[in-house]
Amino acid sequence: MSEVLRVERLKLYYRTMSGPVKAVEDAYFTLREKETIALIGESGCGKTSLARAIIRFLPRNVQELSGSVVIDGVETINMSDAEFNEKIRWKKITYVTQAAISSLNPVIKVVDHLIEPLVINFKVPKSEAVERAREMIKSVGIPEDFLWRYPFELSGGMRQRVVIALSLITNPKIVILDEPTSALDVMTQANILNMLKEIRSKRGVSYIFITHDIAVSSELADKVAVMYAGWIVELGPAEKVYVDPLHPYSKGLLGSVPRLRSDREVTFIPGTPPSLINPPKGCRFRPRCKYATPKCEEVPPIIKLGSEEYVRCWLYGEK
Amino acid sequence: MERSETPQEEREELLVVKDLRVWHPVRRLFTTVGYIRAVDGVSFSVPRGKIVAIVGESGCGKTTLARAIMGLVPVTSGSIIFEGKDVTKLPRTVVRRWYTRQVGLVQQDPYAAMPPFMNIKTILEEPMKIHKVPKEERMKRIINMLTEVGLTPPEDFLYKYPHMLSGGQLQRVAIARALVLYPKLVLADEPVSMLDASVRIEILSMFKELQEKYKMSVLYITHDFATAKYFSSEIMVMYAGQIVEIGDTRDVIRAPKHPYTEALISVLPDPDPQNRFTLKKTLPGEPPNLMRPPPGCRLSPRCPYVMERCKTQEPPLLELPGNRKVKCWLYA
Repeated sequence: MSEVLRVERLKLYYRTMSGPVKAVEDAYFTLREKETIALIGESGCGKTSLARAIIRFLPRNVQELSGSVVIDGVETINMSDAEFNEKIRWKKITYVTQAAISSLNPVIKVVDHLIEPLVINFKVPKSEAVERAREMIKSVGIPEDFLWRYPFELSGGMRQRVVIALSLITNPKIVILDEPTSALDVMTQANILNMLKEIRSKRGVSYIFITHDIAVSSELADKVAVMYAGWIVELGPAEKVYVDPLHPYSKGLLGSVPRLRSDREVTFIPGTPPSLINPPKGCRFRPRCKYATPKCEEVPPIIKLGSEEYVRCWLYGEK
Repeated sequence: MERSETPQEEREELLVVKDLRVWHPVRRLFTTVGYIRAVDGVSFSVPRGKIVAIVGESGCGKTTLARAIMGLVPVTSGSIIFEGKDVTKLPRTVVRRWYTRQVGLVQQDPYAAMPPFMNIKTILEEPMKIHKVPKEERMKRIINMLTEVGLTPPEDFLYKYPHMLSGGQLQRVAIARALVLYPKLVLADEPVSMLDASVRIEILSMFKELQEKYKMSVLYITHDFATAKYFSSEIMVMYAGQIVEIGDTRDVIRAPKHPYTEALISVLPDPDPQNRFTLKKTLPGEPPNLMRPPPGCRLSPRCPYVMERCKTQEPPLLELPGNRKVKCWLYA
């Protein structure tokens, strides 16, 4: 399987009145074909900022964006927006935003939503685009005649399917899914997750799956990046992170998930996440960490433990 | 959980709801053209000092049920008996003076539930003013409640405004406000669904400690079986305006009997790397339109075990051994 995305030392600061917000620092991961990475962590930890930095979907107050983002072999970090739009967006990577359900224009028919990127960005003739929309809508499990309806006539689950169909219609290699099921009911969520799994195996697409729901993240993730206060504190294969997390924050986070099928006790992490304008010195988790030592006042390095296993914590030594 | 260990224990009911119906009229011009049967024939009881969870998907009627118990929506028929008195038949003044003091409410979105122009002290004092708690005592109770919900030192929070607090802190204020009159029953409508995972458990553990300390009953309304499992002793599952299953929480989650409960629990994931290799078995279709629910069992159009009888006859809430009730013909 070939590599479709490589992120290295990615840094994203926002400019605000009270100083720069250090939203993402030293982010790194790789993603291969058909692979899914889950970005998990609490709200405000930088999951969405990281994804938006990759697809260049950023607000105007960006102070600094640096590092390296290689999408399908092409370095994109220094591309102009016009170049990025022409070469990368839609062709290689698409983004399903948070609350995407409400992002459809209620007075534009489903079919016109779906053919827009094909007709405008790819100059596909309209009749052919409609044909592709017809195929696409069937593959996300919606009957064909819904193409000629308006978004307000569809239920929440169906609208989410339409948005996912839209993100796939240009055959991208990577789809960023930002909380795709958070607004949905349990049963609808399970249907959408089933559909995402089928699409992944059929079309060979890679997902970046952002969610705060750790149990749901395990439905898709091949590997998991745990984020805390703008840092990826742990990155590893699903088999490792869900079962035996290493970083004290990942341990706390996994420990706070109530389980249906086992009776293990649930715990919580005392304290609150730090401000990203003035993060604590050294390790950002230090003020809440029960294993903290004086050493933690220095910034911990990203320590490589296995071929694809990394942890950012002094507990695992410095090698 | 405690109940199943000591089945002989005397159960003293605080709240008994009998055959409750809340139908919202649907009007076109000046005539009523139909009713949305948001709550349709619901019977259950809440024992003293216990936490009972109501679980269901959105639109199943769980919030309407809570609002009806609070007296915030008119009841179409049926009775709500609190400490032996039928609240639906009491005069309004008695309900206002006596009943509303006994029932506290914690809402889902703390930002929407708090007036933004009031500081924390005013927010907590208001219910006591309405219920004529003597002035000397009010401040004492405010300080006490803020300490109880973990907002310490309380002096730091008294004069803050809602926008200055985080979601978790504000939900603590909401809990303090619900408890400040020492109610016997607290309705908690999705109290933690807006919060992050680790804060969720922190707030629920605190809430449970307070519930035990003040010996309150709690009706915990949620869509989340997992937190209900850790937080409640009894659980009721609602579907399309009706209760389909009642039982001890851990028993219901371990061995669900109603096909709807079974399907719902089977699609809920635990963090497990094996999940990504399997597809979930979901129910086909969507919950029915409550203006025209299907005849017979309301799950019949989606149920994998459907029989001829289910399509025409509505099943009763059957009592099974082990403190379990199931609304399904499979157990008749």
